[in-house]
Amino acid sequence: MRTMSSVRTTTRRGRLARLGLLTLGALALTGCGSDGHPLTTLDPRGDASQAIHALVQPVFIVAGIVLVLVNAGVLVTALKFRRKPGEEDAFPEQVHGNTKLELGWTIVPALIMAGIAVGTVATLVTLANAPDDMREDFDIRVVGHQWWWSFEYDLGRDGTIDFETANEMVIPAGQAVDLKITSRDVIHSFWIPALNGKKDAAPGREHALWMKADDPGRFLGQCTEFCGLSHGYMRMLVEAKQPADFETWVQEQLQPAAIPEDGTAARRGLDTFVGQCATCHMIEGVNSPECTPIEAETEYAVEDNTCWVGAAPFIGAAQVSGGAPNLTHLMSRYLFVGGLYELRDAEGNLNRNNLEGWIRNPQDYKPMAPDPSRGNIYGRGMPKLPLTEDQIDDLVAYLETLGTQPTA
Amino acid sequence: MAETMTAPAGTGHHAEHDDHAHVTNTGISNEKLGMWLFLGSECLLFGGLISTFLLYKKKLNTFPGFENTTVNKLGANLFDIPFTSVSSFVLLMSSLTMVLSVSALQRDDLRRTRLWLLATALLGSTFLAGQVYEFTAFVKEGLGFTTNIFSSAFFTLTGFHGAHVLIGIIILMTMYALSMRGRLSSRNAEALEIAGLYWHFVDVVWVVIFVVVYLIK
Amino acid sequence: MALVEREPLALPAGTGAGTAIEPLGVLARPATKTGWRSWVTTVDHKKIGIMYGVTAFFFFLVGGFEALLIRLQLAQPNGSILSADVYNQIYTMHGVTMVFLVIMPMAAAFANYLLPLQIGARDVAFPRLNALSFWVFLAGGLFLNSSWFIGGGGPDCGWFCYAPNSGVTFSPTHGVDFYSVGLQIAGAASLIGSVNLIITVLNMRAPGMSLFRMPVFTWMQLVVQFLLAFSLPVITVALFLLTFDRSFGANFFNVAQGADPLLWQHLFWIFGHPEVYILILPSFGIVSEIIPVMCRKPIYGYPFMVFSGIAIGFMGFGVWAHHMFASGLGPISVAAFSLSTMFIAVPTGVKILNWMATMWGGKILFNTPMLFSAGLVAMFTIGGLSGVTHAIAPADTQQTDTYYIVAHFHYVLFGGALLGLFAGMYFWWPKAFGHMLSDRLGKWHFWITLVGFNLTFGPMHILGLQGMSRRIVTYQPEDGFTLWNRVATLGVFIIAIGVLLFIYNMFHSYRTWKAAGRPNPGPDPWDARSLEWSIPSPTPEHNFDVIPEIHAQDDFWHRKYGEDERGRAVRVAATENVVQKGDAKGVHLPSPSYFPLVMAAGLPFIGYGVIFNRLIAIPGVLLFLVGIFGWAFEPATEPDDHHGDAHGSDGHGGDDHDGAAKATPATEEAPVG
Repeated sequence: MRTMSSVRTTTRRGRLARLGLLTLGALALTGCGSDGHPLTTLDPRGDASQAIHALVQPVFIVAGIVLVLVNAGVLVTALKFRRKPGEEDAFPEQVHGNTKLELGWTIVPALIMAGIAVGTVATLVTLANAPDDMREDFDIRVVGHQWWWSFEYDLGRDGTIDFETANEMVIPAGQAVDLKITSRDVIHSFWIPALNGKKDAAPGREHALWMKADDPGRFLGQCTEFCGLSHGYMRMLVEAKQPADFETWVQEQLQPAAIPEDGTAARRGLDTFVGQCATCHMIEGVNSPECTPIEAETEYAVEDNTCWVGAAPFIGAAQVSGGAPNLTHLMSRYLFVGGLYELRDAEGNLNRNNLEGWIRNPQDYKPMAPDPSRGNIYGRGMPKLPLTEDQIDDLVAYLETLGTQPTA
Repeated sequence: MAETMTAPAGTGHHAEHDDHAHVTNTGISNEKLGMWLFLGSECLLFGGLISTFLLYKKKLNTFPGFENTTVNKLGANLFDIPFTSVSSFVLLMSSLTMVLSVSALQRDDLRRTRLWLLATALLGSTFLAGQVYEFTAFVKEGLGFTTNIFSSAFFTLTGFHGAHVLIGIIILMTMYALSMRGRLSSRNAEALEIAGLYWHFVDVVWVVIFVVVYLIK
Repeated sequence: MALVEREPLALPAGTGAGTAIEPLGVLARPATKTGWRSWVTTVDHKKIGIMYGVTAFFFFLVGGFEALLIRLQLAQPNGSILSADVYNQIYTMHGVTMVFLVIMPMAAAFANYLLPLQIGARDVAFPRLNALSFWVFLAGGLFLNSSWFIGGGGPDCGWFCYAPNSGVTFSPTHGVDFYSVGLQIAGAASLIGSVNLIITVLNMRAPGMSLFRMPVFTWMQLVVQFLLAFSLPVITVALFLLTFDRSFGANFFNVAQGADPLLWQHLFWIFGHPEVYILILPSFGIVSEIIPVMCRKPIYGYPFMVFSGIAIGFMGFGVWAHHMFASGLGPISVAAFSLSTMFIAVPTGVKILNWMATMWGGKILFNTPMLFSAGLVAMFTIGGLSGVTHAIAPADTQQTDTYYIVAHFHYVLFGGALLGLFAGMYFWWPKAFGHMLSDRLGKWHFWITLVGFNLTFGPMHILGLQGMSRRIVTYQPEDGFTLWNRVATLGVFIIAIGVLLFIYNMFHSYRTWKAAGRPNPGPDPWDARSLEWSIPSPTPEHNFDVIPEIHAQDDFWHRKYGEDERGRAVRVAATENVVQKGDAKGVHLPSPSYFPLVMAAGLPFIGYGVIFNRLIAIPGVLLFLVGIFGWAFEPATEPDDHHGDAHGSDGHGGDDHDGAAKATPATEEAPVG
């Protein structure tokens, strides 16, 4: 894919330093930081990932020692006992075994394993229980789609979704958040390496996971269960904000989109949106039933009478990604196209070319299967729409009005 | 199955032996041991199918939105337990006739061997006919193979068993044909015994299926 | 394919049911020994073993080519060699091919060739079934790969093919249909083969060859065959359910109807984990044969070697859910499977330490087989240790489905299974073909492979821990994955050079030995320990002139060597005095048969019928039935042909239908020539 700019700024390590890593081998791994590796598992930034790291790091060291011992053993044995010139007819002592030795090297590894087992079970208990600083006042339903993620915030944990974001999840730093992970189509896996291990998102099931970031920051993730054509392009971002900033963000997200003035490009863009995009995309205040001030075709409206309906329920619904990202606060996000492209350049200006190009011909930006096929009348992914260049300009003008740009 | 039973004996036997009794390390003939192994493997096959059925039988009842639909009601209420009990009894009786047939052959009583063979095949066919009747009745009620997860699992499990019964009947009829051509005697009674092993296995599996599918609520 | 499909149609007249096949005999007709017909009709376990090996090697080249494409695509960020669609098909077929069409059949090649020899038998228990296994396997492999040409592309669901992504809705081409039906066919082959080999080992051992005198290779293969017999039916069920869903509209994986997407995962891994041991244990067995020979010492701790193999087999059935730590199991199951997985490391560790103890104090000859064996010990250890880190369930949630896992299982399957299989090829090549492979080229092959292998898969540990997911078609420049991916791509081409060198070695060695008329290396070129070395190279048709009487573990060695008062081996007899001449006449062997091939040839048509149009299945079913019918009415052994030189006609040829009811007992046993 062309012209993708980085999610984090990259500090390139020296080539020599990397070659040094090669020679140090597995032991050196524990020294890698996240510099230049936004997805690394070796730089945990939250309680869960740190607990995992603390558990596995000593095992890496023990395994490294065993590895060196065994390989050195093979090497030493090979050198010491190789058949030397003149020994063509020499025969060693015919040793058949030693039961005590055998029992020894059965029991010792078993004891080492038992030690690891104790730590493993303890960590499993830690990870299964909610930490003390858990936010009890809301949770987030994480939904995998082919090939993007939606995050549905349930304020008050009353079972109704209050607002929804796509590809980016915002959490308060220093506080744990409950996630309920599921999928609308195939199995995906939700993974933010810096914050916690992965958890599969399976249709028809809801898997619990909690997540906590120690400090504010942005943490990249990648779908890790093969989910079809664009699996490799399915990314997501978690942003931890200061708790106060988080509350502000929530208040913003609860606002419906404003309707642009008549006669502006943005207003024409809204009309185009209703005509072309609203079948799959939702904008709060535009095409949700009770809030909509303009005539919207009802077929894409959802029966639910709340403004925020989230993704259509997967059970009983067509097993396809008919739903598309909710765009109400598009401009409050950093990424688009399944978390793959940056919405803005380094100076904070809209990446207009990418946004227009994506609308013009989505297949250039991400492989998808938007056409109906055997067993699937909807297709999966964003289709190429019959839009004129003017319509595309208007649409972008309208999309620019949606949401507040995050402050750097 | 036929191929396993009629497969050649290996030629690698080392020990002296007469034409008839194979001397093997275990004392069990290759053919019989092969059948036992095959049946052991079959246990896992039916184990997988039964587990699938149990999972989906349970799931259908708890599946949100499906609690009171006709789709759900169709599953549990369609069973005609008395009817299936009778056909199960018929199949179990066929195990008895199978035993009688083998023992008759061991006594070189070919007339009775054939009689009981025929009876076994007939009882098996009766069971199959009952299954066909049951399937047609279900489909008429609206519970087809593709109706829901329960029906897919039900037809697959019982269908696989039915296919096993059918193959068993073909084996029995082959044995019958062989006896008519005079090639079945106490000398090779083991062939019939091995066919019997298969037949008993199919019956025992049915007992499990009957309990799991029809009796457990 | 063409050969398999057309050949039966060209059956010569008079080969139908009940008619004796015109003598294409392999034993008494030296003229037809090398003809292609002697191969397609053979029931000889050695020829079948060689055919398994050749086929597996062919698929190895196919799967290796797919690996090259994968690495080229990943050599740089935003790679554009392959589209996402094609990439998904290529990596799926790479996995399926390497697991089901390379390592399994290559191990089956060794099992077929060697098991009867190592236990002192003339053939397997059911020679025709053995031929059937091979042809069915070949049919399955070709069927699977035919999806490239007529299926609209290969399967695109990964070798694990998780539901519901494998459903028609999400994978609308026919690729997955070929996966489900093709693996079903290949699985049937393995199942038939496993039953056959188990019975061979349990029932057909030479006198005195008690179970605990069997070579470790035979033991490991026995464990593998049991694993196959009891794990394959589970994947059979899973594949049936998938086929029913895709082709007949069933609902097993239809989540909209309430199906559980984890059902497939459980069924797949209940098979899939034993499968891992099915892939690795044969190589453990091979190495356990080679190390003692090259060290001139018996295997250290034989009973522990055997019992650890059995323990691995049993425990292998109790660890499957460690593939599913991230899939949403409850914490109790996760803890249980985490612990069971840790403890399976113990018997594996026992094996490694026993190999090292065997080497310790030996007089190790570092020729090619020994190098590959030592390479296995060292490289498999790396895979085993990274395996321990996955057993820690919380850590696995960070590692699973990343390149760390890819690194792990390649260290197990390449550094373990494949290095062992190469070791076995160099070791038993003279036994099978009557000439040695060049040791000089072999050593180059080893070192190039070792370097390439570590360059390819070593960096993947780092990539995985840096967060590179599996099965992604590409990555971004900012991810920081570029350097190690380049190294890995460099490594795979070094491996490719090693493979080319091996191919060259095969031709070169044939030229310099056979064609140049160098003398046969003799029955026992390595001064080895097990029975297959007591008979000429290549193995005569009838294996043993006289079935040996076994008095000890490593009986053949003890015929050559005794021990002095300090426990050192002392030669007691010259090798040429204890080996057999291989010149026995008139040993009655099972006759060749067309019918295994005919039966197997029907299966792909039935498969195409299921996928495309039921009508195509009709010729398939007919072929299959002709095969069964012909088989049933054809005696296993033609009573009086093929060895007329020894017996002449003894006049009971009329009763050749006997085999239908009961196997015709083989006329035994050859007088020594």
